[in-house]
Order: sequence, then structure tokens, then C-alpha cells
Amino acid sequence: MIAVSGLSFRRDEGFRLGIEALDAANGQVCALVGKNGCGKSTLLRCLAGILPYEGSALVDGSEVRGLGHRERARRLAYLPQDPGCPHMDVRTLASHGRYATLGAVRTMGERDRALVRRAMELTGVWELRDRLLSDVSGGELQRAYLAMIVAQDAGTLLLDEPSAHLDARGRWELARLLRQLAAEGLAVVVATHDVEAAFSLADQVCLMAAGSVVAKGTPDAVAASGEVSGALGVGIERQRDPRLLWGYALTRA
Amino acid sequence: MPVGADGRGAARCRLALVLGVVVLVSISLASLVAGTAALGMRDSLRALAALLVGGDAGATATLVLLGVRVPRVVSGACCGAALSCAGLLLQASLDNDLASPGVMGVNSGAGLFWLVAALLLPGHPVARQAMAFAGALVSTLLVYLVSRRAGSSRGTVVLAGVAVSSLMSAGIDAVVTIWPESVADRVAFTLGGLSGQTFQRLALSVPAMAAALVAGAVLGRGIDLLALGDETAHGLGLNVRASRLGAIVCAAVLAASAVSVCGLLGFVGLIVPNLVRMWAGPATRPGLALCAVWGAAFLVACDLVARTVAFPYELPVGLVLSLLGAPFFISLLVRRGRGRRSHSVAAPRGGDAA
Repeated sequence: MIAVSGLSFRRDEGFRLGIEALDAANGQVCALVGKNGCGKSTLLRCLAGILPYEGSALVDGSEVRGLGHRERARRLAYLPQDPGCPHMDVRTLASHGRYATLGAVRTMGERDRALVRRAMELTGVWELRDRLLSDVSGGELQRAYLAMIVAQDAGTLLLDEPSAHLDARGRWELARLLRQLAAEGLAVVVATHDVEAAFSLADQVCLMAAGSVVAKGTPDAVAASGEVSGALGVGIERQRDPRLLWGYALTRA
Repeated sequence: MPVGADGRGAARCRLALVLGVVVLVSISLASLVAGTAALGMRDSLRALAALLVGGDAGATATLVLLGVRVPRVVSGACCGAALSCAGLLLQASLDNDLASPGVMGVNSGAGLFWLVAALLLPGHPVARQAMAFAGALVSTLLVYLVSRRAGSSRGTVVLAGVAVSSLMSAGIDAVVTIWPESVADRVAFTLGGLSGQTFQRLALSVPAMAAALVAGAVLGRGIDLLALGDETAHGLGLNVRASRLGAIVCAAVLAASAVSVCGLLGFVGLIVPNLVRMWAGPATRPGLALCAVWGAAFLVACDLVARTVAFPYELPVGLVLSLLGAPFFISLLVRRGRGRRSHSVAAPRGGDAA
């Protein structure tokens, strides 16, 4: 789990991120939504230990900035936006998830192989294991990266725009997968522009604008907060029709 | 083509390694019995067999084989292996298949500092060695810092390397023009060559090469992660800056050790690692093993060609390498251009996490 209090980060150009409080418990999906430049990715990069922050960000009770590289990666897995398409096969990519546990010298053991296989099966890429990343679709590539960070066996996942470049079916499958990962007991924090999916899949929505959280809580509570149209420029409304893919739909602001 | 650590990828690596050892041994034997000295091929073979099984090889044959050809072949093998492994480490850590000790200015940096040390401290081979390492490191770090400042794209890294390489080469030209006595054979040094090698000269370089190779292999698993982009590698628990710096230092030590033995040999560190990565994939550890074997075989083979193609004259091996390397470099550029066009929708990498 992750717990943030009084976190702030200032960039040279004047942008300031200020988060009073934010929690993501194990077994829950927390979605960060907001316009471009509102600070979603910056927050995730602070939580991942990439950007230096002030205040407190605890992962499983320990301050993120105080953890060593490997110790942090054993507790918290981070997947940035657009991670690229290097020349390797799906299994090799997923195996890289074990790096923090193996260290620089040792090779993978039976337990590591089993964890990698389980991560690949969970994310649906086991059948693609010998395919090059350049030979799989965008959705499959995204799932391969998810297999990598699931194989990390960390309790918290931080995902930055995982649905970017995915088609409608891919977005739907990704949402189901994230729910499945939360059901496995992981805390999943996802920054996304996909507002319908975020409200439909998350247990908790954090609505961000200009570097701070303007509303947070259950999707229903945030939708009813009156802050959505101001923060996103569009409205959001609960859908009751069971034939529809998403439980929420965008409306005019 | 699978590029995994398991299955067919590993089988391809083993096959290439065994084949490489066979080729290296064959070319080394051929190189030992061929040459421009007054020792024919039949006499060479007879003398070599006598030396191997403990018979009488004759004074002249022993002198030519043990004093000239064996040091030359061993030096070629060591320098080829070191330059190839340096190229692989640079390509992997900078995520750029155009990176190599020659293109990135590592060789010329090592060469310039080696020359300055030879000029200022003529009787101190250890100082020359240390200065060559310092020069290689300075060049590589200059390229790294300039490219980071200028945006860190793959093209920027190479352009920065070309600029630094030109700067260091200009320094070398200045030194050998103003103080021609600083280097005994200017052409052999600037073009690169393996004539006149001794085990004493090699003895200073081999321990440094071995240490850098082992360190590169230890860092290999982390270096592999750099291909995923800095932020992803950071998320996996890698100290990105330390890993990249470690790989660069290893590459600098390898290249500097080779330059202090064989001069400014270009293109070995470009051609061999690229062919190895095409065949066996981007994994660093098996790549280093393959580069060591095939790099050694490649340079010994080029030296053999240089010694025999214009018999009785001997061409500098650097000339043969340039004739092979320049077209290869151009073909790499063309291949990259095609690859970029066919993957023009590929998403950009994340920023620098270090």
C-alpha cells in the first residue's frame, strides 16, 4: 500500500505539485485523472523515487526516498508511459521483472521462473513468450510490460497511461486485468486520460487539476462532487444500462 | 528470431561460441605459419609442430615464431576481443548500435593521452597505460555529457562522438607534427597495426582487459535493462546512472588497453558487436563472450589479410579494417533509416531517471 501526506515537488518552470493526502490500499485500484499537465505523471514519478519530493510518501510503511533501488523495486513496481519496443522477446522482457530480487550477478532460479510464468499467464502473454516485442500488437505489448512488473512481485503497482495506444477492446481488457491484479491483493495506482474506464474500474478516483487533488473518493462521490467539469472540461455520468461497456459515460460540461 | 535467455536463443549463443572458438584457433594457426619473414610455410609448420610437441624447431624458426608471430597473434586476439567487448558495452549502455570506441572518440582520446604520456614520461610504460585509460574515459564522458545536454537522442550521441573524436584526433596530429619523436612509427600508431608486438607490452594491458571484461559481465544483467529506457529500468530497481557509468568505464579500460598495444584501430568495435547482437540478441553477458571470441578471430584474420594480400609488402591492419568498416557503417545507417521509417509510429522513450 502507499500513503502520501504533504507531498510537494517544484519544477524550474514554476509548476508545483502539492498533494495533501492520498492513500492506495492493497486490493484496490486508485485512478488519477485530470487534464494534460495537471501533475498525474509527476506524482507517479515522485512515488517511484524518480523525482525528488518534499513531504512524505510511504510504501508499506517506509519512506520511498529512503529505500535503496532494489529494496524500493521489491515493494513498488512502476511502468512509465510509452515504455518503448526494445529488441527482445516477451519472455525476456517479463524475466527482467526479477532483476531487483536477483541482483547483478545471480541467475534465475526455479522460484523466479515460476513467478515469471505466473505473471505471463495472469496477463495473458504466456502463449506469446517467444515472440519478439516488435511482432506483437500494441495491446499485447502493454500486457507484456504488465507481465514484467507483475513478475516483480511488488505489493504496489504504479502505471502511467497504460491504455495509451490501445483500441476499445484493448482498453476494456486492460481494465479487467487491473481489476484482476487488485483482486490478487495488489495496490494499483493508475494515471490515465481514459476517464470512463477510470471511473468504471477504480475503487477510488483522485481528480487532479493544476498540481493538486481537487476531489477524491469513490467514483460516485467524485462524479457528484461538482468538480469534474472544472477539472476535465467534460462531465461524467453513471450508466445504468448493463449492455454498455463502461459504467460511466462522458457528458458535455 | 527469439532473443530470450532460454530456449533457442541460448542454443544460438552456444553454437556461435563453439564456432567462434574453432574459427579463432584455425585463423591463429594460419597466421602463425604465414608471414613475410624468411620462414616458409612448410618450415613454419614443421617448427610449430616441433614447438608444440617439444622437438627441435631450429634457432631461426624459434626466433621468428616466438619472438614475432606468436606475440603478434596473441596481441591481435587480445586487442580484437577488447575492442569488440568495448563496442558492445557502449552500444548496450547508450542504446545505440552506431556507438563504438572508434566512432565515440574513445580510441582517439586514449591515443592522445598515450602520446602525451609518451612525450612527458618516455620511460614509464605504466604511466602511458594509465594516461590512455584516462583519455578514453575523458572522451567517453565528454560524449555522454554533451549528448545529455543536447537531448540524449541516439543520433546526438553519435554526432557528439564524431565531434569529440575529431577534437582528439586533431590533438594527436598536433602532437606528432610538433614532436615527431613522441611516437616511433606514426603511421602504425594512427592507422593501427600489430607489427613489432612484444609480450612485455601486452603484459601491462591484459590484466586491465581481463578485469574490465569481468566487471562488464557482472554489470551485464543491469546493462540489459537500459534497453528498456531509463525510467523503466529505474522502476525495476536499477541504479541507472551507476550502471551506465560502470559500463562506460569498462569500455574505456578495454579500449585504452587495446589502443596502447595496437594503436588507433577503428571499426573492430563497431562491426563485431553489431553482428553478434544481430545473431544472438541484445543480452550483454552472452554478447561479451561472443564478442571476445569473434572479435579476436576477426582482428587476427584482418591482420593475416593485411600481411598476405600484397605479399611481400605488408599493409597496416588498420587500412584493411577501414576498407571493411566504412561500408559496414554506411549499411548500418541505411538499415537504421529503414527501421525508423517502418517503426515511425513507435512511441518515444521515457526521460532520464538518473
